[in-house]
Amino acid sequence: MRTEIPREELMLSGHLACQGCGGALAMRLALKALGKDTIVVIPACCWTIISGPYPYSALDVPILHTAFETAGAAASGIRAALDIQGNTHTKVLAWAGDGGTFDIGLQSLSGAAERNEDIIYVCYDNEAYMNTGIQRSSATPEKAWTTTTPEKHPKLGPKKNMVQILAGHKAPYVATASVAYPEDLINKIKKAASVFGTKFIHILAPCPPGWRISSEQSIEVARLATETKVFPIYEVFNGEEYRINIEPKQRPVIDYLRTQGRFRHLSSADVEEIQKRVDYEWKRLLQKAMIEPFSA
Amino acid sequence: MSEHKTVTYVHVADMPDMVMSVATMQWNKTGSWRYIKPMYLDRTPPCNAACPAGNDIEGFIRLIGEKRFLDAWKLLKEENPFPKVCGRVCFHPCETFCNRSKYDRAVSINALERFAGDHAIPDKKPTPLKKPTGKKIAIIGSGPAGLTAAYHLARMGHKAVVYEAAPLAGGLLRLGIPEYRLPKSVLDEEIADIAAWGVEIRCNAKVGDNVQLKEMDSFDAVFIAIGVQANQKLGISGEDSVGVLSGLHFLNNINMGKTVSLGSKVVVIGGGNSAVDAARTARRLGCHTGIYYRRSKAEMPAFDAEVDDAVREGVELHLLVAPTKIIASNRKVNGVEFTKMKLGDPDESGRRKPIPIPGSEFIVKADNVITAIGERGEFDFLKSQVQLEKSKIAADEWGQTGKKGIFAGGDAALNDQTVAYAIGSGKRAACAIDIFLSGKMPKELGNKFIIGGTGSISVARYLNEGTAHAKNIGQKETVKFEELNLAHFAPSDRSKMPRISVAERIKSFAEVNLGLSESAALHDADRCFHCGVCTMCDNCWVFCPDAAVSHLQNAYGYEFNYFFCKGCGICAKECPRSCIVMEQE
Amino acid sequence: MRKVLMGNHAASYAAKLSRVQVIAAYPITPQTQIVEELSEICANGELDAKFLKVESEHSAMACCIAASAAGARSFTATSAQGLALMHELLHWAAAARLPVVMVNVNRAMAPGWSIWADQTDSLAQRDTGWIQLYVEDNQEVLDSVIQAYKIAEEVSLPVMVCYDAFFLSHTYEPVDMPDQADVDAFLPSFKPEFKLDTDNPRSFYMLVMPDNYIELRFKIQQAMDRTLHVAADVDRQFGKKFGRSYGICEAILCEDADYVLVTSCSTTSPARIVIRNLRERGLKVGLLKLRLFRPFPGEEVYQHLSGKKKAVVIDRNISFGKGGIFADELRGALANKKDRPIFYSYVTGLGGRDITTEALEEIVLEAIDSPTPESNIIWKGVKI
Repeated sequence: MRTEIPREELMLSGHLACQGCGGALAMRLALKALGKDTIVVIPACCWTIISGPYPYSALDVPILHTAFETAGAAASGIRAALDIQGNTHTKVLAWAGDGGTFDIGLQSLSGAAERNEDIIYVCYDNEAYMNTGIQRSSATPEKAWTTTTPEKHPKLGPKKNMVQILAGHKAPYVATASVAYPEDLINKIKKAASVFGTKFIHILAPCPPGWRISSEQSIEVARLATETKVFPIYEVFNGEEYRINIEPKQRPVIDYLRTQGRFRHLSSADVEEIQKRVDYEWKRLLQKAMIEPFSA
Repeated sequence: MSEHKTVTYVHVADMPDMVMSVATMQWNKTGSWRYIKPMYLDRTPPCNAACPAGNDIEGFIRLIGEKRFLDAWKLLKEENPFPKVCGRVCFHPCETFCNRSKYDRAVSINALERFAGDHAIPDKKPTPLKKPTGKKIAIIGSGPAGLTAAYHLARMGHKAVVYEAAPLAGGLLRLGIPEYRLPKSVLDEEIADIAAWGVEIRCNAKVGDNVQLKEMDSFDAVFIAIGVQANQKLGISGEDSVGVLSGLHFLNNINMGKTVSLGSKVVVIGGGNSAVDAARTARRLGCHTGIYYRRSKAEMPAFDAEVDDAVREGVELHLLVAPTKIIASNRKVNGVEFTKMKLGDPDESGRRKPIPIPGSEFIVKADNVITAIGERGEFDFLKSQVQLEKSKIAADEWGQTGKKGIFAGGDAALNDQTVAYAIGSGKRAACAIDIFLSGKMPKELGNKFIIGGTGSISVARYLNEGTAHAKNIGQKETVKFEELNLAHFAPSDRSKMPRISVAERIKSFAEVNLGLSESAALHDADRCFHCGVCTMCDNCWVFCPDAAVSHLQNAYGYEFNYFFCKGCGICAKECPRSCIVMEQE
Repeated sequence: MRKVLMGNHAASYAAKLSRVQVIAAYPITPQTQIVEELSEICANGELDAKFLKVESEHSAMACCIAASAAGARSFTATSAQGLALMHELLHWAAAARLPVVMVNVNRAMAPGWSIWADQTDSLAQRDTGWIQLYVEDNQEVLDSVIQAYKIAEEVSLPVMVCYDAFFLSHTYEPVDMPDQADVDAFLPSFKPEFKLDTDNPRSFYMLVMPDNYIELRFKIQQAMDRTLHVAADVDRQFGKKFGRSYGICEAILCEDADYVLVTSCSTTSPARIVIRNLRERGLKVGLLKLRLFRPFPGEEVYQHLSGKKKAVVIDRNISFGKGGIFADELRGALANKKDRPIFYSYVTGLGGRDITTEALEEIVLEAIDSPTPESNIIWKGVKI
């Protein structure tokens, strides 16, 4: 039994997430990590809909729904309001998608991080604007199909590296996590809650309709992302100290790519290119984690 | 579960000014979204289905893993009275079918069975399971088949009387298998446990000899389990010379503690376990020993491990040779003439037929020749009672011979001549006899206590006592390797069985295998995948995106909340051991 | 205690006296002194507040909304481009029914870049659901911010207090600073009925389907309707306590006037002089100062304009394609009144160009002399 994981469910059944939604599982686990004394800020994203329409809520903690680009600012405002009222114990959790973090929400996140606001910012990343119908974001991996990057006009350029950006802000704690590794995810959020300042957790959250996978594959695909080094699981302390948490199985990226319809159109040259970049980034990460010096 | 209602505002005055929630989403029964639904299913692991003795292997390994060694032994005893014996001599088909063998290496099931047995505490006064029935059953032969039948019949409340021709009980376990593989003290312990149930064992009582066959008429049923104890003849000249020994006789004498003097060079003819046992025994008596077998190693009926051990101990292995005559001088053997063989097409046994190579004869010097080319049954005294079929007593899978009240099993009736099959046969006969005594036919009980689809049975489930096979009896399909989710396992080395050194081994008849240590046993128990049996790993619960799985209160396992389960299938996929099936709504 | 303060500092001290708890602001000329002074005030420990120096005005409003939703009295200040950047969230704050108070220094919209007085910025936000007050002098700045919190927290709508760039923001005037204790008595601490509270978890501002949206909007309008008398009431109470009140609009010499000059903000000050002068010359002129603009006090304004021959409206703003916004709103409010005056709508002073007493006098005389307005928009003092 996973005795470390709390039993209490703060995410209630009856929510509107699609079958197999990685973002729903991420929220469920995150709230287990934080407990009832948490206020969640949700900018426009899938969770705006998942949490249910007026006058209902699917969470047993307070939610502030806020405009798309304002997660960082809104979380800062709640924190200030709580602090000034003498409440420094309630946790403030900003819960944004990749669009509201990597793109339109980047400014207010950067502002909050620069001010080192005492908030936990989680980006649950399904790698596109899924809520509005699978359009590309700067979190979309290179060459992936989306409705605005059709097969003939693929997404050029790799995923923006948010961890690096936040590390550049010298945020006290930045980490990646995945729904395939629930204990690691929960531990990281607990760790974040125990540190003062802006903590950023980047969670990979597979989306069955958007990634073109069958609903039962969500966890498996998330796991493969890490096993193939496409999505390494690591943490960064104070923007400088890197620690890799999960040893990937060193599987080739094709094992990950072939599971998803959004990569079905890739040629073997495309796959090779992706493999090269993944290997390169991994070596860079090893260097940062002081495991192995980088060599081309 | 409390009713969660929807909120419908009829008038603006009913609505709070704030755009806020006043209720939860729990009114929304998302279970209506699904078209397939998950069900928990306890399934049969392949080891359980593969065990001819019907052990609850997954169950006893789980108990070892929980450090409940005594309970593990007790679980085994619900099905099999010989865990200490089997844990030493069984050919462990369970390990061949173990799904772990397709991942890295099979779980050391055989060694774990011994480990459980070695932690036994004798139960000198077992609690009766059933009231005495007043029925009496005669069992002819105290080998594994006979004693297992007696054990279970006694547990069913019947009086079992075992007739054993030899001075000591055990059959081939006593007389055939050497001490270094199965210490007789170990066998005595398990026979004592059987006797503690009220089984009467009469030794030096040979039915058809000093015991009249007619005596069997005073019993309500008879189980014939006399095995096959007569040595097959080679059919070549010189076979009657002095110094030519039957393998079985040789082993019998050694095992009964008699002195057997052998010359310095011993030739063992045959390729089965008896031949190997005889060769390794001769080796321990200081002889230069060789096994001579007419086919290749692949066709040798003996267990591979035994053959390898023989070779390690210095026994020579001569393959593709067949004896043509035994050379004697003054009627005492001094050599064997062999001819070389090659393999032709398969014969009726399915093995390739050995064909002599003309002109390839050669002579091997020998002080003794031990023949062990096979055993056959001696059934003459039973002529009036049973039919024979292909040199075995004709009996169906329940041991029924066609003559009312007469049952047969073990090597006497089966083609698969192993301890495990004998035990399985004894169990089937016990159940069949019990059913017969109640006036019913075995077919009436159907498959309610058959494990998997291969014919092993569970006496615990037949009697509805104990916990062996409690949850997954009746599941015909076993869990296939492809149905497991290997992402949740990690490679792990199989524990090695500690053994005394080769030099030590051949000096005496001390047991070669020392048995796993507690940490080694725990390590290997941990490697078990528990195919098809929920171990409460929490995967289904932790990975559900809809919080639709919860732990049962005060009971083992989980339940699905079908009001909310969307049928995504993640639970079934992430169950490492295939305990969840998705079924059409 | 009396102090000589610039308009911006009057706003700072008003925020301090109102015991704001969360301030989130971004600098923009000509608002900067508001936040600078507040920084000093907070640093000195004179105000126990959290001051977030956010990275844009949009974030400033997001912050204030969130802080208010979490139960803190919040404050921000901005101008022109900053206000425009907040636009999306102005709608949000109002529909969220949060009593945020914001000071907007009326500045011209770019391009071209202009830091000088122009009312278009805040008037362009008149549809967002915010209560709007336009104030004439630095005392009124201070008093109105305090009143704003009381009004906002009563009706659960945000309030913006608007005043002219430089003419007020940077001009020093003597200002009476009330005692903190008196302000505390007038304005108790913020205790919202519903807020983000882990003891009572709720979701706020979620998806609303068509079956409930319009009712929520209806409620906002209901609150705006209430605001008409709440604002008047608060102003009266303020007058009783502090000896100063302004009304939701102010009529000077209107009862027997034939012609009424309608102004707002700092333009009202020279207008008072102009009306006095013209009265001395025998013209029956009056002055109507518009203060509360949203909700638009149609009835009250009608009281002062009914039966008048002409209303001459000064707009330091324009809605392109239509005209001066104050004039437009007045015309609209009185559309169905039979005894409404003829409206002369003057657009002048955009981008900080001075509106002098001479210009105002010319406007009034010109309007009196012309039988009908020459057009819907009469541009004054423009090089045409």
